Amino acid sequence: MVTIFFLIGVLMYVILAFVIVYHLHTYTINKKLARRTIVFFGIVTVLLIVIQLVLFIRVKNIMSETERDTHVNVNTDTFEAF
Amino acid sequence: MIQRIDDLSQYHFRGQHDDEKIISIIHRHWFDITVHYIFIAIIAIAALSSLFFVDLIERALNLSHTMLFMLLANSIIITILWLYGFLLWIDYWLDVWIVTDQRVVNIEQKGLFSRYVSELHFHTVQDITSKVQGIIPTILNYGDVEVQTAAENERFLFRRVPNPYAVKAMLLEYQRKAYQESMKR
Repeated sequence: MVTIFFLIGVLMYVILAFVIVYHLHTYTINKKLARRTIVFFGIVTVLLIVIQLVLFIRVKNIMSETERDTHVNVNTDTFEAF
Repeated sequence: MIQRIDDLSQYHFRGQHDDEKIISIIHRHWFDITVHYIFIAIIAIAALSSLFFVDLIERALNLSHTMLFMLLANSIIITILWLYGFLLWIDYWLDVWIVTDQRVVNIEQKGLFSRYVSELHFHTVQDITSKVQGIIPTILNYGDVEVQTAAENERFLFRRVPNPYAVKAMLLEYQRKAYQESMKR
């Protein structure tokens, strides 16, 4: 569920970034400056999204590891109780 | 800022006539956008400075891997601020008054999906008023220039532009030229 929300968030970023680039490209009065700005904006945005994805994957792994550990502990406790 | 004439060769706008020459490009004063960026910078600094308190939070709440969670939260905040900052810049950059030797074209960008384009021909100009109001506009020399016209849309406003007196003088000069040309005919 968290992954789906996160991916929807990333999709929103991507759509917004495309709209920004489209506006800059279409409505600018200085094409040269717009092209440079689009490249700069694109690089930084992609970098930020990649960093976010990497961090999310790491957090997700840790969360699932913790969950698995908790599960194992509960089972051991239950076994010991018997 | 008011662009100088030698910088303007690379500028072109939709609907520009073949014989039309751009005289000046006027954007809103930089202070108008800086106020928003200060707000963004404060949030970004607050978010990033929270990383210095990771140890404290970790001990207080008895959590592990807090740094990673904080980094993820910060990267989300920074991405949102980056996109918002760019939206602000687009709103500023695409909001422009183009003064040509024939007319003034006002392109007003409001958000992403709202855009108004209006134009003013010099021969319809009746009166021009420049207005600088407040302490900061006086210090930084920016304000409004209001043009009264004989056209259907009577009022044409240059909002928070730098050096409004120079803008007014330039418009008056082109209005006088247009008037002289119409008298010759």
